[in-house]
Amino acid sequence: MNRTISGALLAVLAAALVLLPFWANSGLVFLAGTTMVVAVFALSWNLLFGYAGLASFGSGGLFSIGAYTMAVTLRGGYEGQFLLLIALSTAIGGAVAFAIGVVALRRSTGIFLAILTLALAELLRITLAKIHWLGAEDGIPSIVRPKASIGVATVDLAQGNHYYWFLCVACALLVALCWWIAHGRFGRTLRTIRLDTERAAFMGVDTHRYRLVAFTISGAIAACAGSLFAPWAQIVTPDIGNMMRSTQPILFTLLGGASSFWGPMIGAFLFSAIEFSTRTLVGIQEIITGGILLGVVLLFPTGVAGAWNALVARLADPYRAEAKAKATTLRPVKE
Amino acid sequence: MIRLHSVDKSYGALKVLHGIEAEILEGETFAIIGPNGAGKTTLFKVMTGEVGCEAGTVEFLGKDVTKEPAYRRTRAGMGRTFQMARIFKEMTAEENIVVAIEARAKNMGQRDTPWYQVRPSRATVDEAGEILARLSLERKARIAAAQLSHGDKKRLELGITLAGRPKVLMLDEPTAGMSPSERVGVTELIRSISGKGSGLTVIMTEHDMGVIFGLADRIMVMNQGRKIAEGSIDDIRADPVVRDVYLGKEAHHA
Repeated sequence: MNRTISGALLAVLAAALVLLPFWANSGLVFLAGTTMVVAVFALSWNLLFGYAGLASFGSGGLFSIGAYTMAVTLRGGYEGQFLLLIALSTAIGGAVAFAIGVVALRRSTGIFLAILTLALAELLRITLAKIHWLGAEDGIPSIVRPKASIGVATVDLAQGNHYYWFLCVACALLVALCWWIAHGRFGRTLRTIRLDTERAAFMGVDTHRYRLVAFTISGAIAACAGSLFAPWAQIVTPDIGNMMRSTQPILFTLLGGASSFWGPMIGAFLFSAIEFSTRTLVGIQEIITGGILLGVVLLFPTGVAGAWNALVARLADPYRAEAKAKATTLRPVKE
Repeated sequence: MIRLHSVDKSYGALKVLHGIEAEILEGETFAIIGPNGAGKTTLFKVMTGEVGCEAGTVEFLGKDVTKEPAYRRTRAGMGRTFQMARIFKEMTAEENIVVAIEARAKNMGQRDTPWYQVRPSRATVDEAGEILARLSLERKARIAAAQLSHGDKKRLELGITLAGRPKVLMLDEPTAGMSPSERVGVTELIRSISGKGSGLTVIMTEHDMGVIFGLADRIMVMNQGRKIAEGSIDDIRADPVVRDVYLGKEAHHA
């Protein structure tokens, strides 16, 4: 029941997103496309936090690596191989995350990892701002939206809303990939590591290796999101991976619910909706956004996803839901 | 099975193990007893690889594993439970067993789930059901582990450990914090698991003399980080040094 209602809602929202260019103005379409990308980015972060129990505060750096890789290769005239460029950006993001993970995860997992990743992302941002070949502070402007060819079919993504629909497909595939990783054996094992690392080790799990793999996958997906974003925004600057970017997934996850797979996505879209509806309230927009975030965190510790699941369960079966709510206050959200 | 050779262990300036020598034989139930702070749990940790030792060696199945991390010793066939049951509280009882079976299956190279399949395989779920039934937890399979009673949590942890199909089962105070009737139940359970036909070696620490005398083939007595006696139940009961240090008070209760 719960699953059916949530699934139906997801389908409706997905359909609304796909059909958006037919009724919304270009500003709203741009916002929707951006939100899809950052939602995937937030999912990649929560793969690390919600499943492996690792908090990275430098995910913006990997997003930036993906975006810059795409921008540079497109500028270099490789737009004919767009899908390959996405794969390349993803691979570079994964490789960088792997290298950081090898060094960082051996010793630090908690607050040290958070600070270390934050520092590395800032270092990257400052370095990018000093490299003239990458446009220094101004970044790389006028990025072209290329043609994408799969086999015989070629789509010109520069035309109209083609790139938007391309984003819809790409993000849907990435979400499906994250879902598959999170719900399969690998995701289950990651959860055991988050819940009790030592117990997991005493099941024979090489916890360090699992965390490293999760760190690499998360980094690769973050870079992939970045690479999709560059032709969408058509400009990359060092600030594409600033601290605001790194905190985005954290805020989305808090708002949406860390214990639910869909939490970060829900958070991303809610956040965009709040920002969009308060865009004219210059000066108090941040206060409203912050206030809502604070309210949600205080009222619904399991995030919007948790509150939603509780609501649906109650509507579906009031008696059982009540007994369940009493018995399972600390239970994870069922996805 | 496991052989300890002159194991020394200190926490900072405090020396907690002094040259421990011990050999645990295949198929036996070996109990480590001693007053609080005698070093029983530390000895356990040295055997399982949670902590290293400054001097001495730990041999498992004839191989020196002194430098091996815990997960490798687990893969080689050690399974342990903790004094305070360590389970995955957010998961259901069934999921707790499923993840343990999956970890073992992967380590042993048994893979029956197709790579694209998200759910655990039929065989895994069935095996989890069998293990839960053995622990009389089958009716609580869908309950979040956090909601289980203290005794059930300890049973579930035993189930996680058994799912790894260990060669040696290491139980750190299996009846700690249990009611007398729960103790009898767990004693029966351990006996049924480690019965003569099973070939399973059991190493346990325990405070309850009733449990020890009901299960152990051999007993090692520790005091202040040293081994002070080792032998059968009768040997230990008769040992005057042990009587002085430990059993003197406890023997009346037993």
